[in-house]
Amino acid sequence: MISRRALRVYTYSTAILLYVPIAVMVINSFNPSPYIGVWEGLSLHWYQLLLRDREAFTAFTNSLTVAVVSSTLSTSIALIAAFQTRGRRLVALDSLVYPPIVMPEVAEAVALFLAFTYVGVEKGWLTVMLGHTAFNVAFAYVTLTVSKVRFEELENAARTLGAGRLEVFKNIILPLAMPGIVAALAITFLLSFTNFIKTLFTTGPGFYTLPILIWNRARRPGVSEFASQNALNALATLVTLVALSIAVAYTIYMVKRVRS
Amino acid sequence: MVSWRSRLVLSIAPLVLTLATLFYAPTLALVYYSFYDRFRGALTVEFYLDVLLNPLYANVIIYSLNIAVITVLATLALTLPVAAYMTLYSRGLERVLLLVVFTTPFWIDFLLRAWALKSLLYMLGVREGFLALILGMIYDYIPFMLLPIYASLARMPPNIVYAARTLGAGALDLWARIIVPYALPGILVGSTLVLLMSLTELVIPTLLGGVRGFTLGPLIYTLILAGDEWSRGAALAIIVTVLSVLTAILAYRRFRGLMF
Amino acid sequence: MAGAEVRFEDVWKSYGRVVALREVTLTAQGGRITVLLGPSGCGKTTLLKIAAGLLQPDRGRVYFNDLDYTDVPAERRDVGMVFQDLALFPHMSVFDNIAFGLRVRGIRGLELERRVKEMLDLVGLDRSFYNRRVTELSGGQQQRVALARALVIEPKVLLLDEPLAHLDYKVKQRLLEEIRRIQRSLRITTIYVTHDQLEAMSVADVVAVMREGSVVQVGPPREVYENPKDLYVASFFGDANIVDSKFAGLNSEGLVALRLEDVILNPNESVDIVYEGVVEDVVFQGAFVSLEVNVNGRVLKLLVPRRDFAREDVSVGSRVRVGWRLSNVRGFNGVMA
Repeated sequence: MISRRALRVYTYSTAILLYVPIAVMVINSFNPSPYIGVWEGLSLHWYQLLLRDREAFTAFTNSLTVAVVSSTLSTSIALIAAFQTRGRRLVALDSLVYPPIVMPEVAEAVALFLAFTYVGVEKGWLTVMLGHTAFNVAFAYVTLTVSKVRFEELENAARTLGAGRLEVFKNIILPLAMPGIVAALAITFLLSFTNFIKTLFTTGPGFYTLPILIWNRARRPGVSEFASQNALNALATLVTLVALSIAVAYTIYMVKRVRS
Repeated sequence: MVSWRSRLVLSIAPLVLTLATLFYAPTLALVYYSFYDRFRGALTVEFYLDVLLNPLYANVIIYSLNIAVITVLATLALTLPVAAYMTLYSRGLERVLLLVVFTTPFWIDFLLRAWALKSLLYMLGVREGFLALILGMIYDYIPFMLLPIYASLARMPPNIVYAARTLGAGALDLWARIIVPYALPGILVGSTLVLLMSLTELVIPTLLGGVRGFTLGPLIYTLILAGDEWSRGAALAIIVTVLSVLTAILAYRRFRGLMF
Repeated sequence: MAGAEVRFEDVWKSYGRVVALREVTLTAQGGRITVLLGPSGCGKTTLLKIAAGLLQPDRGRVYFNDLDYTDVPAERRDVGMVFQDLALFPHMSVFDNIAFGLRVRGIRGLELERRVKEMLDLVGLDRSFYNRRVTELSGGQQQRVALARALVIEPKVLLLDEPLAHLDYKVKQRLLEEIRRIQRSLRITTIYVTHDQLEAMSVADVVAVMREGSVVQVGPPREVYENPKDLYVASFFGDANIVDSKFAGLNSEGLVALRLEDVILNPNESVDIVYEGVVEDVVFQGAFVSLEVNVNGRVLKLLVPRRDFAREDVSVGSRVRVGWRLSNVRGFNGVMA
């Protein structure tokens, strides 16, 4: 048997290695030199620059808007369907919902591109949002229907106790469905906010999201001060921070619920 | 009183409609374009044949497959010990912490992780190329391989190792007869996942591959967005999709009871 | 809290092609416990849900005290129901679960508290349970909460769907007694669904044996036990040896039933028929010893009181005599003893 010690050392080293690139990125974001290899001490230069970075700001708001709209829309659509079936899975619906998740993202992106072109829709905010929604709706539905709560039975119990439709909804269904709804919203938001490939194929001139911006800058570093390596590191660090804080907030929320 | 049946239909309608218009219709468009020659206005299989037989494309496909297979094998080798440690030797707080540590990368943008690695490699003097590409693929896909394997190993009842040892199983027997069979479903799921995802990967080959980064993903991108070869791009996309869906169905059938 | 009489008249219910209930006519008398006994799939839960108003019959009517309740929805029927999986509200405490039905009826404050606490006392849960999460309780405790929740609203009818299904033997016994005690003191009409004949025997004032959607026999437990209408009832309610009537000593055709305790081991009291056989199995079951005796190729099962068994020196392989009175042979469809 491979010794426990060896395995442990290996596991911890791998864990650390996993975060080294990210650590490097974060540390370098404080490096005032535009180049990664040249260390010039600690500074908030790039972060200050970010405040003046119009492009980044636009990209951020764009990503945010698309993500908020898409996640709300897709969660609502999925919720209406899931609610009626009281969270039970219908086989027919299942088979309809899985393909978007299974299909390779590039293929889906190309399909969206071709479809939008065929229909003649001008690519931009709308097409990006719609593209995200197609995928999000499936994810939201799956998230909402993995619940182990037997909604129908609880509803029956409440009815025999005299509760009318509204009361059942307010006191039984809503509180128990809430974690699922929040999860669906969080997941679809994140998927949309960080989405790259679908966005790449469905965006039009003048509209760009944060991932698109990062992509462009990462491919051609040094073209402008904003796009230099460490500036990008600063941006990337910020985005990572936001993502992590959402993750932490969500975990705390879940833990609180489990405790209560 | 609106009948239950019609209420059901009404609530499922938005979901079905959304999927139909934003996913299935585009997929149909994809199929259509893969057979439709825009310039001659005729339907043909020529694009499929070209894509599969023309050495120009065939080489890319084979190259991508190679990269994908290498990625799968490498991530497998790297993550198996970690999964083994986590399930066999780790308990309670440590296990939860390790799990959190290894799942957090999911919350961090795919794109950003690739960029972070690129920065690090840059610092170490590794420039864009084959090595960077492989390292990038491995780095990005480790969580995708680790989690399924962990999940599947975690189903192993804790006493089973003890039981086997009381029955006289030595180290080799233990691994071969107990641990590997339990890990197998996870290994297969993870491998399938990583294989399919890395085949169509666009971000990493472009960012880290340099000249050697022309795989299926970038190929499709070039065909569709950078060029005008929509039909060939569509044909490629369809081929990859069919592959993915088939593999997914096979995997689901085979391992349905074991993992889900 | 006297209970309403529940009457089913000619009730039919199908799910697609499957007929769950066929032509069921049954009366659950006011203030009594009526047990619906049958194997899974015989329709007993469906009938219960129709009584609750959660399902509507395809044909037939349901009457509460002669008032047609068939179209009255569950929330207005004033029934208390305990579900098979309890269906306690997981996000509420014990107190809130029980209080739910009262709150829905607009009862608040002190009155609410009083009634909930009263009910908790009735089912035997003390004040330490008030604020506990229902998910933390043991099976038996959860049962009591479910019972309390159903009873606190002072329903006309109490409906129990396999309430003791997943409990330990001892807990089951205790709860069975409690249910009887509570029912007796409240005199509430109770319909109790189960597949366990022992439960049925312990609790029923009237037992209705069901099979594949129909009620086969109705009556007080003793009557159904001693005079089963057919083979099915004989073997489902109580245990019996099913043998050829000629073998049993009757001058007729067909099969008859012989209760295990009616087959006497080495009889010295007066029996009408005696056979010789070899003991094939002996199982000690506490108050009784269960024997399997091979008589000319037929294996008969006997239930011998422990006292009587101790007197004989019997073990596997012993040659013994078995016998019975003709009057104890149960025939059906005109086959008389």
